[in-house]
Amino acid sequence: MFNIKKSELVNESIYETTLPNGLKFIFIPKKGFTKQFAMYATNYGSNNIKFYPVGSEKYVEVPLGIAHFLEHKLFDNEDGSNVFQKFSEYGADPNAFTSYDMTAYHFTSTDGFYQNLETLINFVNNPYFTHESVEKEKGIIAQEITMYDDIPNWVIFCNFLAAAYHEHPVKNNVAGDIASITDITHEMLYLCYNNFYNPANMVLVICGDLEPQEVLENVLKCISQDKRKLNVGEVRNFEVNEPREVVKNYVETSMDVSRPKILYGFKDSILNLHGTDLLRRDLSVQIALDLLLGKSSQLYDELYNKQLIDDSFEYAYTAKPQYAFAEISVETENYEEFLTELKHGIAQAKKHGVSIEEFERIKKSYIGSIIRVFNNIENLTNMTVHQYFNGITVFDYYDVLNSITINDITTAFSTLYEEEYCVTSILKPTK
Amino acid sequence: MIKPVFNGRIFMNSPTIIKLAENVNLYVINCDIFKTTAIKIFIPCELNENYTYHALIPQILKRGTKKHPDQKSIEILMQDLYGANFFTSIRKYGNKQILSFNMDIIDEQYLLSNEDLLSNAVNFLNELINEPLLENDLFKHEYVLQEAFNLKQQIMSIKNDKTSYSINRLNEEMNPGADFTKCEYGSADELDSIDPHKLICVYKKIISENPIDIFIVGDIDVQKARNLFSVFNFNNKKSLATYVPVFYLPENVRYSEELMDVQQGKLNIGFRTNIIQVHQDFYKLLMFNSIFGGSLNSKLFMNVREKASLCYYCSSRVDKFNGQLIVYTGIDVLNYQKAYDIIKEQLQACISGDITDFEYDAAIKDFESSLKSINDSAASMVNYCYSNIQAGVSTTPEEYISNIKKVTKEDIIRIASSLKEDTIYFLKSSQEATTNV
Repeated sequence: MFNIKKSELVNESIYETTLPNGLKFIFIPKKGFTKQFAMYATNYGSNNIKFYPVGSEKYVEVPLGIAHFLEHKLFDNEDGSNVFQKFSEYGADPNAFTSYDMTAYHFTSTDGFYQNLETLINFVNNPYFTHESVEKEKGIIAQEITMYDDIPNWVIFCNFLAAAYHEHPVKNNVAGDIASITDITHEMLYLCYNNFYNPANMVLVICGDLEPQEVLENVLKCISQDKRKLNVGEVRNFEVNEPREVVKNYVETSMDVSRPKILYGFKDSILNLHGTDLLRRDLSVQIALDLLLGKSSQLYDELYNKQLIDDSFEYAYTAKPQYAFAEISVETENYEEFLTELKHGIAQAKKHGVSIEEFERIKKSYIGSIIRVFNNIENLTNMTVHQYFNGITVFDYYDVLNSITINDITTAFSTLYEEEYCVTSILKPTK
Repeated sequence: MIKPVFNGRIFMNSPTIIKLAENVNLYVINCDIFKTTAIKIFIPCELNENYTYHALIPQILKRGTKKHPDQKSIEILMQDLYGANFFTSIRKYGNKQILSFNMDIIDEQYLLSNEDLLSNAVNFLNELINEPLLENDLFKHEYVLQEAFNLKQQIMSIKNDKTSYSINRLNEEMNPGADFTKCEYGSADELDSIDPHKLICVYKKIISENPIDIFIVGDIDVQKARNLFSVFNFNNKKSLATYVPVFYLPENVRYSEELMDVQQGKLNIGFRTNIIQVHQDFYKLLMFNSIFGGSLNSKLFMNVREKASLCYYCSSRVDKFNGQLIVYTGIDVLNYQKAYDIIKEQLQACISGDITDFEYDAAIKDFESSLKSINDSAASMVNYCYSNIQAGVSTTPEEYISNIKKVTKEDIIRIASSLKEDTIYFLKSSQEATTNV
């Protein structure tokens, strides 16, 4: 039986239930759309490298990049073929991704949805790892890693994280590095799989023009085919003691790029928030950053007219229970002057505070992005999975947004970008 | 309004076309599944000697209008419109530079208040295009200098994306001096010395003469759409010549190498197909491409990546405007010969008729799925229609899939055999790479 949440504002519904095996299932009907999208995800990512297996008092440490490696290998069938081919029978488009804190397997289809759903659930629920298949993949993943090593935005961001975090695994690249992946064995893949691919640690989200009851019946049928014997219980992650301080305030590297890029990052200390509290903090900081650096801000105007920034200027905030950080970045020749002006602007903004008019207008503009999410089936599903792991739903955004007051923004401002907890990550052209 | 149907499903609602003036058309695509209304205005320009000035125009226009004289006031307007999305862009189709002006607005039925966002949005777009901020009949000098500088930086940044850069370079090596290989963002050198008088003249000429195609996608009726755009007061425009590419038959294969400080080598191979969208073999070429290297089931993916583990991506792509097909892959520099040989083996496999029923069926289903999916995004629907306009065709998605299904294995073999390898381009590092895992 479903628990149904409705939003009158956007005229959408979310159907939720927990299945007999402990798996959370969410269905979002989207009448009139041609595509259907399904995502089957686990709350396990590159951050989970040190953990206590179920029922064990001793922790294990696995090589960096193993969650991503496992994601690649799950597509292998026992007969050596790749499950991609099965999806092609109905023209479905499958893929997967691994991030710091989750791994997700998904497909888009316009035909044969239920056959594809069965294929999805079955292949994720049927791991098959061998020594040979693991060795073969090392070459492919090595190329994927070197491809990322040539992407300037990725390099400057990873350098920032490595300079900001001493202990927390978020300082490592999601895919690991060439050296770490050579240590991966198929036994390790099974160890990680058996611990983290547990229904209680996972979620299935389906979105499209489908009938809720029919979807549920098919999902239940797929779940009943699950023959796995997993150790049921809690997997504890090794507790990380991450100090407040950063490792270093400055990191620099060079690549074959046309001009320098600078990322000015801030390691936040407001942590251990969950659910709607975390969302509230997240939105408050985002609004604060928009007020400080958005296109309607004084600082943006000054920086742009001094030709210190252009359309490459970006900023973002990431908020998780165990870590949170802000990033401001731009490609510019005059990165030193940019940084000076930026720091000055931040200090000024903290002093002068926020006008009610600007605050209300920014809040109003957020309504557009909240509503727009519902236009795209893949984005909506992706967000729903992330939000489920964060303990919220997509409908919480509007309510939390409305509840944010100017005091929340002032508080956000006062705790943001304290200089000693900042990292300047520079990318310079090699020539 | 005609609704074409295929197997009982509607692929996408056909646009209703309203002629607002000679060579000014408004395409209304009515659909109610989105929470927003999308407006896209396209103005094509020739990729000729004025191409740098063409590219600069949208950058200048979005700096300020008469009523909204700076970025700040434009941004404030967008925020007041509940976070409307506004952006301009430049894209290449064949030998045309397409300037586009876009807005995406929340549909009023989802707001708690009664505000006419749509009229405000359209009025703004009219200001943007027709009522720029001028000082002494020229664009604001400061804006011209700044945007010329910014555009130059953007051009120089193209080389940061090694995959795109290497594909552009292949095109340049394969077609030296051809207009269509010109960068759609202009020339970096020219941007150092922009003539403000020439700029305003080029702008005025484009606005008064070049064709304009406007798309509006959302829960909107034809009459309302027509009324909305009356504010533009369009005069008649001239048409641009349809692009006819030059076809070549290469005598031998050229090899071109470039050194850059990269971790991963980029190997790209260009073939001549001499087939463009109006050609009767076009759909046969598309089917060949899908099987050869255009999907996850393709020979390139299965052999260069899955079997040989030489890469993360290895794909092929049809250039339907210039009669070319390119293979592109990222590999360890040391594996150049191995990768090249496997790629050529896959082409040979197609020529020999080594195409399974599975490969064929998977390709058909892939096309069906893509075409049906157009319906789910305003941008996809508009891109589909506008791409047709630029290619000089009016194929509906239903006709498209019908043509795909008529392609036989023999057709695919014939196409494979007709491909002429023209140029190999390899981007590599100066030192030998040592990533042998």
